[in-house]
Amino acid sequence: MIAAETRELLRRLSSGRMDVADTGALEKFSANVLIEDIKNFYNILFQERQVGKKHEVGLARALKVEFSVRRHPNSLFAPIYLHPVLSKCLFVSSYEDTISEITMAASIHVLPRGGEAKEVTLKLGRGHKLDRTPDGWMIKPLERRSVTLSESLLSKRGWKFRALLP
Amino acid sequence: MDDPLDFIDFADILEHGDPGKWKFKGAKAGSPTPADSPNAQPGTMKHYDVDEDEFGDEIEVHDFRHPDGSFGDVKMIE
Repeated sequence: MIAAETRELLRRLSSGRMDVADTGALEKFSANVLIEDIKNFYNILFQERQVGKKHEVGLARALKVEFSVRRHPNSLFAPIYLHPVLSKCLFVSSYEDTISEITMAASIHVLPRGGEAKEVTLKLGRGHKLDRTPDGWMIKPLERRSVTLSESLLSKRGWKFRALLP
Repeated sequence: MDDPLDFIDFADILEHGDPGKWKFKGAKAGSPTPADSPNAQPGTMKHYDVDEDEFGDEIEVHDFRHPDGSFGDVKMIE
């Protein structure tokens, strides 16, 4: 797949408007070639994993940094923290070089919780997920959502914490 | 044998939480069933499980299990 076709595919996915011709193209192309093509313009690789015959990548176009303020009980002082925000994110999964899923999300805010539990809250922005199913390709909208996950789960899932450094 | 929940797409984890905290509610009636797609490897079985996600919502996990024990196209369905 050439870069122009990939860009058009992703533009349609971001708007949630895909047609049979778009998904037909996905059936023909190598997942590895598509991922290499996408990396040309989504060049922050923050997640990658191989499990059995499945390969997953998480990519973003930009990394931003936002401020947050956390009030501490028993203190008048409110420390300010910086936390990473992955902007224009894309997840691609494949089995044996056949594309299985492409997800686009406007952003993922990464908020370490600190403390003994070593957890991270991930706030997902809006987006769309395109899934290959036995009944054909299906697209569904993603809603804004927050989920708190352990650092060990993120490590197991191939998150690259160094990619979150400014 | 692998655990199909290890294959859940990360986007689904962002929407439904840690699969390790999902509650298995049982296999759907009729599951497993032989995969009938013309491309399916002989002996491949389709499994349909019902789970409850971290937020208490009911979801389904569909997967293909090949005769060598490997998984293909594990999908979480809302």
